[in-house]
Amino acid sequence: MYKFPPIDVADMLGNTSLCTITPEVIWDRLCTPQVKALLGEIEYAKVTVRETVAGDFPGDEVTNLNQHRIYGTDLDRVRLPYLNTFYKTTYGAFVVKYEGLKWKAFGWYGDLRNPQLIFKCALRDRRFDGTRRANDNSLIDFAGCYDDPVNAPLSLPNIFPDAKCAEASVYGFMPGSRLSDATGDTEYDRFVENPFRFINQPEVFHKHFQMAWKSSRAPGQNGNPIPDVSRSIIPTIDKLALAAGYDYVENASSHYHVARWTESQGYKYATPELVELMNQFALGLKRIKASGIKLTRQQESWVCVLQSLPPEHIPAGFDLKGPKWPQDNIGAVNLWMYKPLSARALALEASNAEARAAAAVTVSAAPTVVAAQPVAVESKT
Amino acid sequence: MSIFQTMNLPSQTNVARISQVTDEEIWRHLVTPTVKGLLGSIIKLESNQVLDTVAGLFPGDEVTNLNGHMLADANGKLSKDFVRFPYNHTLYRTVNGAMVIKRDGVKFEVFCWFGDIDRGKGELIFKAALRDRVYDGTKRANDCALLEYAYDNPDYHKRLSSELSSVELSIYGFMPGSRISDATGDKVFDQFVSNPFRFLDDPQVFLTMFQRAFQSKRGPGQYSAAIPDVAKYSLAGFERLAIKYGYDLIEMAASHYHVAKWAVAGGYVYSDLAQAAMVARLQAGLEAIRASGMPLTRSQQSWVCVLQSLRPVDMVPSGYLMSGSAAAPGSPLRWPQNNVDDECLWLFKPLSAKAQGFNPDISFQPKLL
Repeated sequence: MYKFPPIDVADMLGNTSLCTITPEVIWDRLCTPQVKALLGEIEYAKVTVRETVAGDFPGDEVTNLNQHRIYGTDLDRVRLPYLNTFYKTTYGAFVVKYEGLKWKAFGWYGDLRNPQLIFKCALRDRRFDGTRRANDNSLIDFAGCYDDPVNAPLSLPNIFPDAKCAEASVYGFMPGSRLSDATGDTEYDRFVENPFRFINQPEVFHKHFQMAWKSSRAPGQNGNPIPDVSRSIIPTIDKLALAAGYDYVENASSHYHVARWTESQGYKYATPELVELMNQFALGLKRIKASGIKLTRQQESWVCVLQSLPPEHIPAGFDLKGPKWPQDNIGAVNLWMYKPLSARALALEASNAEARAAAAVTVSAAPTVVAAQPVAVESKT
Repeated sequence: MSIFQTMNLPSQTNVARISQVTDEEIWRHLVTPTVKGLLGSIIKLESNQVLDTVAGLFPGDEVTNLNGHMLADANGKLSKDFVRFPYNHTLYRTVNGAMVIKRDGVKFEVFCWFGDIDRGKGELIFKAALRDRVYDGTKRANDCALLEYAYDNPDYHKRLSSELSSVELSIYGFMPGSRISDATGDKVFDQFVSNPFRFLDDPQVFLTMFQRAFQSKRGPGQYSAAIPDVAKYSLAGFERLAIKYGYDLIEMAASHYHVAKWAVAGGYVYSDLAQAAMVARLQAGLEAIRASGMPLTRSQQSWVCVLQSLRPVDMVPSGYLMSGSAAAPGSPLRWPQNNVDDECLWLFKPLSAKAQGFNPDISFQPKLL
């Protein structure tokens, strides 16, 4: 009698176990006490399956990045319908959207006709990354990114062919703390949100950089982080991803402080080239500090951003002479980091580490460890 | 009590319970002993993959994009060569052919191929499917890539109930080498037997073909010889799987009289009372023809039912017109399902305790404006 091999049909069709993580679990375990306090109590729920790009309010939209014409003409529909779970809260709304490969939770604060996004958290299966199919996911915001082969799924020596990898992303900003709200300067807000957009305008860059350098904001922090988001969320995400059967959790770190923070939480750089690059940044920052210039964690990240300017525009004393920050959230390149979760992933990590150590017997490696501090995590998703 | 309601997230996005029926269950409960004997033992699982193209792996393995979606390919070029919802495709090699099982979020379908599929010489001998009717009557139904016919008509494809879950069965079983076109080389006659309703607009051609078919052993739709145990075993197999996966109702759309009789014998009842009355009149007409001294085989009974759709009614051969003339008074009859337009002859059978005694108050006729 022929023995039929088991086939996980739902998973193959793109309905991953990530989507068994319910809104209740996300609310209970990922929405931090401060986020919950800001949103208030849940009042009522509305659950619908949707297939349109449009949402219920500004910011609630999803995407059709591949520009499919559903029914031959319709750009305003998505290829793959998604489940929208909406929970009205006292001071806003809690929304979780599920598209088989990803769930994405949002905390919206204020009048829902024009609310502020204060919390965003997501887990996304990376199986289609590096192919156009990745962009069929309507819960992805960035075009020209995940479909690029440069973002192909995690590749490690001897990684198992059925390795399950999920990208985590987290975002948490205090309501009312956006720079544009505080200063009325929308260009400055955009600069801090993504300074790489201004690399080709050195004068504008420097005008905003001078202000940002003296502020308490790191690049990416156009709002003020919610402290307990960065403090508690990563271990919980790890547990949920592991319970859903994932071997690895990954992230794409937009800035130096994010990479160092996630490194402190057990993440590793995905390629030897990234390890070397981060060593170069660490050594360069160390040289600057040794020269007598004090740098806050935020300023360290700004120094990393500066390296993308033409050399003649890098302020004196801050040229690290080589390394460039790889992820600018404009192009497709990401700074991928991974964390082994499952027993088999941990075993592989240990065995690969042994192999690396054996191969590096004659090469001295002195990793620089920089102390971590809580920060807001930004993500491409 | 929690504000968070219990939800089956995969099901609420796009994978129905029926899509979770395993390959082993399909092989065990739907592929009949005769079909298994013809195929021979399974040698190996050759491939298990997710496809999203209309093209399949070999001729005859194609799927459909009935809604005409224009999806972007790897270069961003829009094309109708893709399906909206990717589907799972498993291919098993057997001693004498292959078994293919396809699944998307609302349907599974098994195809048994006899012969060499790699050289385009595979012959489809068996096809069986169960399909969740949750989207029937809406355009979303046609997003299923495993359809041959549209199911988006809000009248003819409306669901029996929004409270009861339901699957539609479909089944085909054909003896290898028995296809009319293979035996006679006459492709037009093959097409006629496959679907005689397509020839109604040319009554002379219809009648020429009809006379040949009426003398054959084939019923309408039977362009190949049936595999005997398919009719014998398949209903029980379908119902077993539908019950196991939690469905309240099982349904079918009967293309011809012999199919409807088979369903009724299996405990199915007509969903629409007007259609049931039409079939009852056809049945009474058949009895009257036989009582007049013209015996009819089961195949011929189905042919005579097809014949009632011929217009004008005076083209119907003498003695076979049941209604619509001075000699046969009453409004003209016709077989309700012609597989050309959207009208279906739906029959259903309750499966769950919840569905026992279910009596749908439904009409599939379009409402007059």
